[in-house]
Amino acid sequence: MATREAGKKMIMLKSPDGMEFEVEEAVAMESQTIRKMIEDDCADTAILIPNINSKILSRVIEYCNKHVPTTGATGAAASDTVAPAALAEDLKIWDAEFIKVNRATRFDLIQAASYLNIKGLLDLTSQTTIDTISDNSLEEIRSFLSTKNDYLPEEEQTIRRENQWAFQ
Amino acid sequence: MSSPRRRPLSPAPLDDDDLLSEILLRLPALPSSLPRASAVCRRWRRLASDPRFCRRFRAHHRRRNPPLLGCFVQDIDSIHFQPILEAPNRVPQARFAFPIHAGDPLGCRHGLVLFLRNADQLLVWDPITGDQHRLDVPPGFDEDDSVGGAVLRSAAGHFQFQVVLVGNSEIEPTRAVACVYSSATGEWGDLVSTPLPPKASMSYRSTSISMNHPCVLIEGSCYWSLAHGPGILAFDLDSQSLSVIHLPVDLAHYDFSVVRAEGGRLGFFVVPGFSAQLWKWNRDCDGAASWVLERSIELDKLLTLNPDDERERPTVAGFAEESNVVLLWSFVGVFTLQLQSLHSRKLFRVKRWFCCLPFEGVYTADADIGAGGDGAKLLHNT
Repeated sequence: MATREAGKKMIMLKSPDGMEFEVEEAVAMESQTIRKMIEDDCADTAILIPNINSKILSRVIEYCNKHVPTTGATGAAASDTVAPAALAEDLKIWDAEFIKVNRATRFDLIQAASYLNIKGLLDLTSQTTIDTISDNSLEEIRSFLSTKNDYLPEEEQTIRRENQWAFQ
Repeated sequence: MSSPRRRPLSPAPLDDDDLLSEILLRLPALPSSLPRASAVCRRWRRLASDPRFCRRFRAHHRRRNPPLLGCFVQDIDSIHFQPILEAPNRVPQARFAFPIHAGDPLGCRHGLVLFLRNADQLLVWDPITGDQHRLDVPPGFDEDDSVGGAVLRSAAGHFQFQVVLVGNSEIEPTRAVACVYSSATGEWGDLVSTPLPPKASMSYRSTSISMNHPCVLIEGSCYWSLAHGPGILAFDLDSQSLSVIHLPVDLAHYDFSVVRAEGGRLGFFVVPGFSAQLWKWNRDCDGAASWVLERSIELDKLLTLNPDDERERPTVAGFAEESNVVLLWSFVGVFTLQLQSLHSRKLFRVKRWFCCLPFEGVYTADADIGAGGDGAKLLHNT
C-alpha cells in the first residue's frame, strides 16, 4: 500500500513468500522496472515482485537503499559535506562487502537485478562472477559454473585452432 | 495488487541467454576473452560470436580504456600490424590484413583507422570487423601540402563516426582549414579557417601539419603538431573552430607530440637529446592559460640507452590516447612509456619507419576474416 511517512512517499513491495517491505518510493525507483510502473500509474497499491524470495528481495532493497542518490534521506551514506570521490570510494568498499555471498545467492541477485532492471547491481553481480573465473582454465570455468562441455573432442580442437594464439 | 509485467525468471540464471550474455559482456577487454569463452561449450560459442553481442561487447569496453593491442607501422614500402601484448592476447599480424590500396594512414582512434589515398580520397577502416567506408576529400584543401586527419566514433552512437580533416587552404596556403564529415548525414560540414604562424626560416613552403604525428584528441578538441615546431593546431569539436596554440620554447629542431598531461589536460612531450620534457597547458583561476613544465624524464636511465651513442637517441613515434602511453623509437628498439607511472617496456626493433600508429581496440571474433576489397561491408551499416 502506498502510504506517507514523515513526508516521504512510501511504497509496499511484496515477495511471493508473503513478506511485505515498506520502502521509500525513491529507493524502489532505483529499479527501472518499478519506476516505469510508478510512472505509468500502475502502482497505487502494493507491488508483487514475482519469483524473488524475501531473502533476496531484502538484499536488493538494502542495495537500493545504499545507492539511492540522497537529499538528506534514509540510510544512504551521502551527505552534502562528503566529497563525491570519497562517496564513490565508500560505495566501492560497501559493494565489495555486500557481494561477499555464496554462489547461489549471487546468481539469485543477478536474476533479480536483471528482472528489476537495476544497472548498478547487475554490473556488480555479473562483474564479480566474471572476475572469479577469468583467470581460470576452461575446465575450471566449466566446473565452477556447472557448464557441460558438449563439444566432440575434434570439434573443440577445431575451435582452438581457429584462434590458436588465444590458447597459448 | 500490481506486478511487473515481464517474462518470468528461468530456474537457473546461467541457463538464461540474456543473463549469460550480461555476464560474458563483462569479460576483460583482452583479445583472448571471447575466443576462450567460445571454447567452453556450444551455447557459449553461439552467444560469444553473435554479432549483436559482439557490438555490445565492443561498445561496453570502448568506454572503459580499451587495451593497446599493438601498432600499425609504416616503413618504406609496406605497412603492417605489430602486436605488443603478451600471449595469449597477442593478436597475430595476419588478423589485421590491410585493405587493398588503402593509402597512407592519417590516424587511428576508437578502433578505427583513417587513410588518405592519392590526396583526394579517404578510407575509414575497422580492422576488427573488416568494415570499410570510402569518402572523397572535400574541396578547399591545398593538395601540395600535408593534411592531417582524425577519425572518431560519434557520441550519439557507436556505429556512427566523424572525420576531421585539416590542411592548408587551397586559395590562401598561409591559412589552415578544417572540415568535419559525419557518417550520420553522409556529408561534409562548412570549411573553417585560421591564420597559420609564419613559416620557419629553413622552410620554403608555408607552415603545415606535421606528417610524423597524428592527431591527439583531448577534452573534445583535436590537436595536430605543426611541422618545424611553431605551435599546435587545435580544432574544437563543439564550437567547430580552429586556432593555433603557440609553444613556450623553440622546438624547430625537435620532434614533439601532443599528449595528455596531468588531470587529462593538453600537454606536449618533446625529446631534446636523451631526456624528455612533459609540458602542460595550465589555466589559472582568472582563465589565463600558459605552458608549465610538468616534469623532465631521463630516458637514457629509464630505457637503459647509451647517451654516448647518437644512434640510440630516442624520438617520439606515437601516442596512445586511452592508455596514456608514448611510443619512443630508438636504434635499439621501440619502447612504450606510460606517462603517469613512467612504466616502460621494450617492444620490438624496427630499422626505419615513417608512421607508427598505436592501435587501441576491443577485439571480438565476429568479423569475416579477410573481409576487404570489393566484398567489404559498409561501416555505417554495422
